[in-house]
Amino acid sequence: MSMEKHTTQEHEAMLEELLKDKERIYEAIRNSPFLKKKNEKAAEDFAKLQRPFPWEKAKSETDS
Amino acid sequence: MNKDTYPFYRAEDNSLYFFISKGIHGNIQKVVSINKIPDSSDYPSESAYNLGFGDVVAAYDGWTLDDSPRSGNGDMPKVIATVARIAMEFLREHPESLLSLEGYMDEKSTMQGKNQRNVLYQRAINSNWLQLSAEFRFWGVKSGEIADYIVGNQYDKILVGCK
Repeated sequence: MSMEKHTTQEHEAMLEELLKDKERIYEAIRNSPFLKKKNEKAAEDFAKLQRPFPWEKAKSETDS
Repeated sequence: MNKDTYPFYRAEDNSLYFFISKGIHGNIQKVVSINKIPDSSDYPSESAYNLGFGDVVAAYDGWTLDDSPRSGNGDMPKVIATVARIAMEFLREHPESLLSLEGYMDEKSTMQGKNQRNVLYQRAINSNWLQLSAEFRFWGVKSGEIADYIVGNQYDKILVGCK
């Protein structure tokens, strides 16, 4: 077995071990106040950006 | 980007990606979250997603994602390359979507007046610009203004989409 393959398998085994309780980890992270706050801030920042966005301008130029 | 990256594990709904940083301080579990930005479905792209990245840390009732720590594990280029690989794979699978990247402003970032995590993201983008810009479009947000990404400029937020 090559060293690279062995390292990858070792890595995957470690991930599996850490994620044995993965459903609880998923839920905890998804519901974490930190992540909620970060996503809310992203939404606020997006809403404040001036329209049209550059990709909207590019699309309207392509369409016209 | 043909950089050395860590293998990662993806949650079934594509919103969480896990990998392990292996370095001088041992093994540190990292997580990348990609969540749809609420109310973004009226944008011209299919929708916009926010990328969060940090350590999986123990909390009083389980685990949480904390993007504030500087783990100092000596493998930052490999960690950032792994985050970039996850972002690219997500965009290839969701080519009509936009991905928003903005790092956490920690104490050092605030003191220096620039977002250190964004500096790392941008360093990765800038050093692979020819390859990345052939496949993806980048925009930078600075002081609430959005414009085409220019290599060398520093931004508060970076937006990426497929060409």
